[in-house]
Amino acid sequence: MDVTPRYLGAGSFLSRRDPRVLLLVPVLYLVAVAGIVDLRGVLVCTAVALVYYRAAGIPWRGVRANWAFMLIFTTVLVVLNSILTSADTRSGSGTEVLFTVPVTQTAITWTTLSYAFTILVRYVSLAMVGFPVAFNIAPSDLGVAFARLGLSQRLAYGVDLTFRFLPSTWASLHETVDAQRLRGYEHSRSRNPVRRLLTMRPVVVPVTVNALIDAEDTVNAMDLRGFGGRHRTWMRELAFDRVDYLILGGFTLVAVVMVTAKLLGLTGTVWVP
Amino acid sequence: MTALIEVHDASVRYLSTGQAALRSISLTVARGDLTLVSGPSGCGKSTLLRLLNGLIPHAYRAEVSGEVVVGGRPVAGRTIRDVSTVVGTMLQDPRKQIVGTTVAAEIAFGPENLGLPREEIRRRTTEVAGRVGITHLLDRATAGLSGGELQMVAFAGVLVMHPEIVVVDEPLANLDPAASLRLMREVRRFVDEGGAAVVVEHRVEEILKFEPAEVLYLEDGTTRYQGPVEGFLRVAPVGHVKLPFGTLVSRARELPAVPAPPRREDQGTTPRLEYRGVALGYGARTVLSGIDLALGARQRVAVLGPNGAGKSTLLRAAVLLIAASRGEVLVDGAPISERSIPSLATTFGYVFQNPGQALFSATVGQELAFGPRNLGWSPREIARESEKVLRATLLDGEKDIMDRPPRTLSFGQQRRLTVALALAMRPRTLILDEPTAGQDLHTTTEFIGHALAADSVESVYFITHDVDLALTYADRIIVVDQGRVVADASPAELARAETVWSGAGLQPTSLLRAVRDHLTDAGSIPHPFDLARSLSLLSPSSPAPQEGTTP
Repeated sequence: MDVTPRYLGAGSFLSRRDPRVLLLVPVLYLVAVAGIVDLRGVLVCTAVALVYYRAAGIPWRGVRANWAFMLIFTTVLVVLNSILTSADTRSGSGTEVLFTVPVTQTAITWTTLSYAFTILVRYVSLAMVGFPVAFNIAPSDLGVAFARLGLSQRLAYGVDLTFRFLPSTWASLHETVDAQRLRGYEHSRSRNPVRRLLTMRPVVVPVTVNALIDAEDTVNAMDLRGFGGRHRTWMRELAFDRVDYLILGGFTLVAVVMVTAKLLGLTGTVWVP
Repeated sequence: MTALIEVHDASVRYLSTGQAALRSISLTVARGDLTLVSGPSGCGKSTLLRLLNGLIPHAYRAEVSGEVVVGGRPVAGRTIRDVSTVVGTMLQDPRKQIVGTTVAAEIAFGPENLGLPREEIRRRTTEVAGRVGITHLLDRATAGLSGGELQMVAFAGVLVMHPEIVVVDEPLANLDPAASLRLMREVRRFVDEGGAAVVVEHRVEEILKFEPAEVLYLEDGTTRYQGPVEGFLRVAPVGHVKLPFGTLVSRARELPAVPAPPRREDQGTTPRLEYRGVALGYGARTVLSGIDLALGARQRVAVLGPNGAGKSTLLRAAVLLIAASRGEVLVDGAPISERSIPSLATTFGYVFQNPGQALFSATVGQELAFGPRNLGWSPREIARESEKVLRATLLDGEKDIMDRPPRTLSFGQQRRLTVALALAMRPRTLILDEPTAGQDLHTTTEFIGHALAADSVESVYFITHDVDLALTYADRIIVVDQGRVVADASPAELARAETVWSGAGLQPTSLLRAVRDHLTDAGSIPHPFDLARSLSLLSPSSPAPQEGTTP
């Protein structure tokens, strides 16, 4: 398995943007859609998110598995939270019981279904604005982007290092699994999570200890090359251009409108057609 | 000439362990000097490097006495960042040193930290990449570089800081000889152009060709010798330092007796491991192809070749850690596909390069029991076998060894423990992956001696970069290069195969030349000490070398 960061959207409209735009947009979008339970409002935001996602130019084949995982995970989450349990749907209409869920005896109404669908669409749209962070920022740009957003130099470079050492940590994990398999170790098939965790000890302990030892060497190597001073030059020059400002302005506008609508009570109720 | 490094009567005691690592060391390195620091594992070489580059006292909690002056100013009053502009450090493993995702980013890392203007960083990056011949790599991802390329990139990352001195920790430990020597040529050039270098290395012979001005030999943290190379060659402990073969001949009377490892006849038996038209690789990438080999059930086989040639891949197929994409692998005459990994564990004991890769238990006793317990052995059987393998690896003499946490053992003891872990499964063949990387001669001899002499083990297959180790301990050498087997012969035959030594990341050693010049028969060769003794009877002793100081 290849664990190196995948820069799938290289050359697309979004990849040409300042990476800070791609980091800020999900934050603004989260502010816009947080707490909105009116499906119409979320659908409007989703339309914006879809346009944004299309601009990322991420090939479908490259993220098919990611989308499948995301959809399955969120669907299960939504079904558990809003259908199998009695979610607070804050609606006066649409209370006619359509059917009752066996076992949990939860009464399902149009309101419940609308609420569940709203939550699902909200998660999907958040993924649309989140995927470009993973696939449209060149791995070497992440550190500088965080640094220019005000994160400390050490933490920002830590982000870069995470990506740098992912492949070697993954290789070390594989090596340890191989070494232990040759001593008869097999993954536990137990359903008991505690037992499963305990049986992973022969792999987890050496990988963790080796990672800590290697990290000490790397920290020393960085110190020996002058890392940690107050002023650091980042070779990658970042500058917002007019398009970047337009995108950020657009998403800020969406956030302001949606927050205002929420404060005015326009989007705080589940919409039932 | 002003000294770049002046160490006066320096002693270091680590506060974490309370142990003294260096005692009263003095060292002066001037511009144009290349100083070799040598000594057995644990003698204080790494501590000395940390003292020179400022990690001690700034990063390690240690009590330091004496004085360390670098570039005319004491290290104690400066930050590591400040010292780093004078002293550049090359770690033993370049993989741990490289932090940039691309080569250009990696080289720029140091100057970025110094806050230099972008134009200056660009100028320095271009200049240093051209100097060490890696301009073509600048846009490449560091994750995809070979070991040799990584080492040159790491060195470029050091040179770009414009240091006055470079300290290099065991440049020969992790890479094939050709790649390591490329780095040493660059170090020599740096010195010749007005810099200075301190190189720590066990393998004295390979460094001597770069003409060190002085040798500092440490033992137990104290200076045992300090002075010119010639004097060092006269007094260096022959069983502990890898010396040129000519020196062994001239000091033949001092060479210790070396018990010959037991040789087992391998005639007419079914091969233990056989490859028939095999191709091996990872995913779509083929690493080895067209492999036709039969390794004997009672053979000692060395696998040589450059980094990334597929040496480990070849032997990992023996334990199903990788499956053949083409052809067939057979174990004891039967297709390996009919076997499982646990069932192969009693045929092959695979010892990985890094002992820390497998150690996880609270005690050595529990660690030893893990494999046999997985095979369903009884506690009594496990206890008996554990005692036996500890005796075989000479670990039984350690106080309360069964109750010791494995990671509190020294690195050499941990390596022996990994052999014990493999032996505890009662394998008939041991496979050793780089068994002696970064180890001094004494530890190497001890380690390989235990592996070869283990009672239950019929054959040993080992992967190595060390040409002399292969010549000394194998009765068959296989050379792998560019995805195929390029040579398969006895050590004496291979020594005469000129074409092999000009490629495959190998370099001829003085032992190899001696074998080529003095042994006429094919097959295994005697231990270098025995060969030196017999040759010394034929040649007069060499003149007395120049004196150094031996406290």
